[in-house]
Amino acid sequence: MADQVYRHAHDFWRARRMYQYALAELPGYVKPRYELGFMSYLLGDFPGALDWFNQAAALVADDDTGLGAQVFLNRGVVRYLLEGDKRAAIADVAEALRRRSDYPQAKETLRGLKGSPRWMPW
Amino acid sequence: MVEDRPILQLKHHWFPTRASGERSFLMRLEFSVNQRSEGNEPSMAEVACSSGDIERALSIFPSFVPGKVRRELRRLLRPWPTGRYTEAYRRSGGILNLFTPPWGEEEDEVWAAMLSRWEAQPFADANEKKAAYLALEQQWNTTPHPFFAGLTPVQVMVGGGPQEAELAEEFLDRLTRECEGKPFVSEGEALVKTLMWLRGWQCQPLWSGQTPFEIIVAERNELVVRRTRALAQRISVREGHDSP
Repeated sequence: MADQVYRHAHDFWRARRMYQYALAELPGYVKPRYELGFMSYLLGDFPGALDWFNQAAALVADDDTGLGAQVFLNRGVVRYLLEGDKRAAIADVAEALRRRSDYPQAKETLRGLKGSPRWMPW
Repeated sequence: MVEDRPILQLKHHWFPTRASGERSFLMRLEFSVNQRSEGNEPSMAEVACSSGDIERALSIFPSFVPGKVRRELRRLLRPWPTGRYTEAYRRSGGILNLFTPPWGEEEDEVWAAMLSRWEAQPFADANEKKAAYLALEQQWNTTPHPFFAGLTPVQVMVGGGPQEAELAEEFLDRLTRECEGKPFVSEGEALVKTLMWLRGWQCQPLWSGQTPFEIIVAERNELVVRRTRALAQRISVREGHDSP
């Protein structure tokens, strides 16, 4: 439900509180960490986003093909933007594609990272 | 016959939400108070700081400028408090914060965490506790804030300058070309898409090799230095240091 609150009703702050509540109740759950990471990214807080994505990546099951792929794709992008670490970013995007081979955004990102020296997610 | 009448060019931009469109007005006013006129004359903000006279700074505007604009400019030109710059919650934060949904003290997790650490600390006496609180306020003012897209409250307070104005225009032009007339399921979807573009754009190196984020931060830091210089000028005039 928190997804709807910020992705459609653009109430970031209420959604943030909802995810923090979910996190306190379900500490082993990946989803709130992923969404808090994504929201941090949108707010321009790249270090915060990377921290949340790292936490989510550590918890994601090896056979998680949905959310798991999103976690790795987004971590790769943030690593690249924050640290310029192209190698780590490519490894993360490749991991996203290992989990979900038909993931168009991951394919496009990988092409961009490998193709252009100054690729940016625009 | 040569057409020599002035040409009025009207420009419009697309915004994902009403709040961001309204905030863009404030952002532009913030740019204007830092704009130096031809001949490198001091900006309105510098005049207000060095003279302590807001009305003098505003006198460059013709009388027909609407009252609402003057009120906002007066607010922007007011002296900063000695403690925490809570007024930063009511500034635009420039292009990097233009689309962030409005937030304030209630949402400020950073300040809340700083405050709870301070409250949990043992202090020898009330004076020491008060001194620690004052130091905490200054720390908040000068620490990059995650909800201000990594700007410090000082950098938010000072507003953007001409380089940021140009970058903002460029981003908004591009956003308008990409999004105008395109269907979005909701305002939220349009906002998320806009923010994703903004975050990619702010990291994209320009011809100078610097990214928009780096240019914006450097310019705001320079404006803080100019402001400090203008304030020092006022103090030294008051104390008679300027007299030959």
